[in-house]
Amino acid sequence: MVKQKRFIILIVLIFIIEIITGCTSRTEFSSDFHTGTEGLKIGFLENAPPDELDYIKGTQFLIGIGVENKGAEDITKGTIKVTSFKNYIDIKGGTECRFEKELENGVECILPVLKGKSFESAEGDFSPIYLDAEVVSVDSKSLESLETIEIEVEYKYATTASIEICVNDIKEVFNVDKSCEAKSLTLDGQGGPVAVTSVKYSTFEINDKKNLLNMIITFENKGDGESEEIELEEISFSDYSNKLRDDKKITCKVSGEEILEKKIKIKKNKEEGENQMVCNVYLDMGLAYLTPLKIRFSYDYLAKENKNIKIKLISEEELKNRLEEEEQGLIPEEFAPPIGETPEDVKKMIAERLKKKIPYGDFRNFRLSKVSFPYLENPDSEEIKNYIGEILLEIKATRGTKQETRDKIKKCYYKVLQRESSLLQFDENKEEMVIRASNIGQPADGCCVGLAQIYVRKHLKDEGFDVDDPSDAALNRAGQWILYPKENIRKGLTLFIKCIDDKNLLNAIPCYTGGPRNYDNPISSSDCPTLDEEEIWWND
Amino acid sequence: MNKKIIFILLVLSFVSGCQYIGSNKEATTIYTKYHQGYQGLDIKFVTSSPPSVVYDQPNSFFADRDEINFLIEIRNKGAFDIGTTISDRPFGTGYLLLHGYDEVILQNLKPTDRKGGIIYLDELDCYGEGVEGKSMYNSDGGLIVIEYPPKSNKLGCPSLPYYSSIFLTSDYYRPNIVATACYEYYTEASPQVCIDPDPYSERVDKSCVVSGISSVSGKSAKSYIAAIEGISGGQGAPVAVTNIEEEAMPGRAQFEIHIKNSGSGEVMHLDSIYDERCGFPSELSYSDFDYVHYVVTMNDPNTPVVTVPLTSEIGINLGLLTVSGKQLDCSPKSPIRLDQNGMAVIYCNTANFDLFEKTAYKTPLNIILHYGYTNSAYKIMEIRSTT
Repeated sequence: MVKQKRFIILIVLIFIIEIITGCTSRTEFSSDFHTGTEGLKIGFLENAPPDELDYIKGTQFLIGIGVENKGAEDITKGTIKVTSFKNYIDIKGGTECRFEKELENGVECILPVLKGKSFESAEGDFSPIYLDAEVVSVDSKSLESLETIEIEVEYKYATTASIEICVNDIKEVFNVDKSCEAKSLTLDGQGGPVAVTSVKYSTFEINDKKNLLNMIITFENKGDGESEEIELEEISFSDYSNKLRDDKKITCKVSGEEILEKKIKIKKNKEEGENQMVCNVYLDMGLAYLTPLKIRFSYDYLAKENKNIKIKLISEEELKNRLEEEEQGLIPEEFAPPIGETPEDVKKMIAERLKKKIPYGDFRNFRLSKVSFPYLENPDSEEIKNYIGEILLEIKATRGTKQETRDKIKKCYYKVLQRESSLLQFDENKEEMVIRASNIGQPADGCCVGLAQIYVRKHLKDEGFDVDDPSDAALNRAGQWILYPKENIRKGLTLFIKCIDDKNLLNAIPCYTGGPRNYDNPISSSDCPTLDEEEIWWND
Repeated sequence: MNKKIIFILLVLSFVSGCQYIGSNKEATTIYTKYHQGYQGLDIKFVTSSPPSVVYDQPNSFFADRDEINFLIEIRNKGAFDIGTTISDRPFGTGYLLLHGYDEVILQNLKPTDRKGGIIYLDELDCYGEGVEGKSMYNSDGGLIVIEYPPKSNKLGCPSLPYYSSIFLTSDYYRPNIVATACYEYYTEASPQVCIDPDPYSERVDKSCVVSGISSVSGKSAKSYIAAIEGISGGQGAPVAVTNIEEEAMPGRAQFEIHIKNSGSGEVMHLDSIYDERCGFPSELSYSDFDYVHYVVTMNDPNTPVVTVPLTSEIGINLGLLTVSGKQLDCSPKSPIRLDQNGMAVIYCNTANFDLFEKTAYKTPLNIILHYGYTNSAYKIMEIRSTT
């Protein structure tokens, strides 16, 4: 009887929960990514550089800089200068830093191409830049020296404002049914640090055929950085534009002078009447209608960030002890976490690695213990095989090849994937293996693809966890790699195809895995056969 | 157990069928009071046509046009026909105008061979249809659907249909599309009034008497004032006769006729409809609004019908209005202008009627109001870019 009562209560509870959860309103997807006043966001990565350093001549450390495009414009041109204020630190290059020039107190690198927010991607590109640095001197009179590392990025950016205005709305003494009403607009931001902040406009009747649209457009630098001048690239709506030469041309003036390929000065703290342009255009007389007014400015933008670090002098004895510790530290850390059973476990696993002060998401030099490494016997082979076949039809290089050729590649890559996903990749005589490639920033090799497979297929069963936490882009990207096995297979296969430059498919394996592999059960030439002369595509 | 089942069945039968049990409703007789209500044309966008959100598609020559269609439903909820007629009663003209969007973004929605792409609500128009009003045969009024882009298979009309297309250069576009109808309309009211040429007579065998509101003593004589019945609830048109007061005096009667724009739209001068200026604010002036032509008649053995010319503000003849009976002497002269509240009062008297030696009698007072009218429907939609 009691059991029955409990059961009824449970059913009622489930019903109530269902009603509550089912009644929450769904938020609609917004296609508007031209929002906010941020452009390129720069910042030091956690513990890179550390807040404190000990002075040992030759002490090396990493300066990690995260650059993230938070705006709606792609960054294709820009530089990043990383300098030390007092020259106690020698900042060298890094693999992600393409040198522009070497500076007296630092380096200047070319910014990577960073795509902005777009319809396809709600978040802009993030890229970590790691620079090698070394402490070279300190203030010998003091036990503790202060140094400032400064980042200065200068990049080309643009703001595209799309503002809906009501044109041809003439104030009449009588009531008519109109689509819209012309109102002054105050705006927040359009996905760039320089923003159009207000548009005041009205339409006047000039004669029987034409109206005049007058617009006063105010722009401001709403970002944290600096910009001295902006260039009006475009202002347009319907079939009216500043680029035209006919009677549909929009003419804009600043301080009474027409803007013709000229730059417009912009003041950070504007006063009344500043940072404004006045635009006029003659409209064909017609009914009021709403239309998107497009205003596009381009500009150079400068942003700075710095970090203070303490450099401590240490005694010789302490130095000796430290060196001993460091020697021990050179041995790669063992990475043998318990196998995650839930998505949260996997996230914790990645987070654990981050705490070990190894660059974000970088799994290089992590040792995998043979004992704790899971064995994956036959991970959904048919599904994987079919997926490989699909990708081969999509990849440009293999799309046009014969079915027979694609089958050969499919068979070979599947074998590699199996080996990389299982104990088979361990050397028989060793109890551990070392990962050589990184999941983040670096081209992932087959090892990481395999690793991801294990965690996903065996323990996560394709269930994702929330990787949308914007507070830690690198962590989340690592999570994404692990959580989306199909993407891993796609990426791995793309790399594998690039590695095929010899008719013998076996030769592509060491290229793909980043070095030779000693599987106890080696992949044979029957698994990875040789392609015929007419099957090769790379000489086309 | 059986008792329980019977009890439940009994309760169920009460719940589901109680409205029938004991009902003593009589069968209603079909009597259509079609000269009622305050509406003319009722315009609506058909749900999901266009949809609230539309994505632009890359155009391809052979297929997959990113065409969107607008369907506008028009129901004639008044008692006057537009562009067609079901009997020999008079009918008017009218047109539909689609606007409120950027025609560079949404292209080819409207016919290009006519001003503003208007479509006439007329069965003779290539893309339009007439819409009959309420009548004794049709108590709901006619219903038509106008399609944009228009398609026509009528004889003598362009055989190539229009195909709309979207050219969006911004991330999104949220126009408030407006469909405006401009049309002429009639209000017909025929309340029964009592004509008593000898109101002071104390005879008790009068067919009718003018009394009700008050009887007041003026400087010279006593007046009898009555409120006229039979006009409440509108006359099946947006401009309604809202009140009539009759004052009976020896040898004549005087009427105070109150009219009001009771619909949701604007009253337009007729010539703005005939000239296709209605709907185009830049071509309109203050004098194009709120004018109502009228004729007030009463039966007279010597004048079976009266034909009244309709004139525009600048004296152009807009046609003739033929009404049965003889015209009363009214002021202000037609067309009368509505005030800012959409109201006006017409004063008429029977001074030109020969009521000599006539006893009190009941007769219809024929009031015809003729005017242009405009009202609109709105639809907010969003076009999102896929590129």
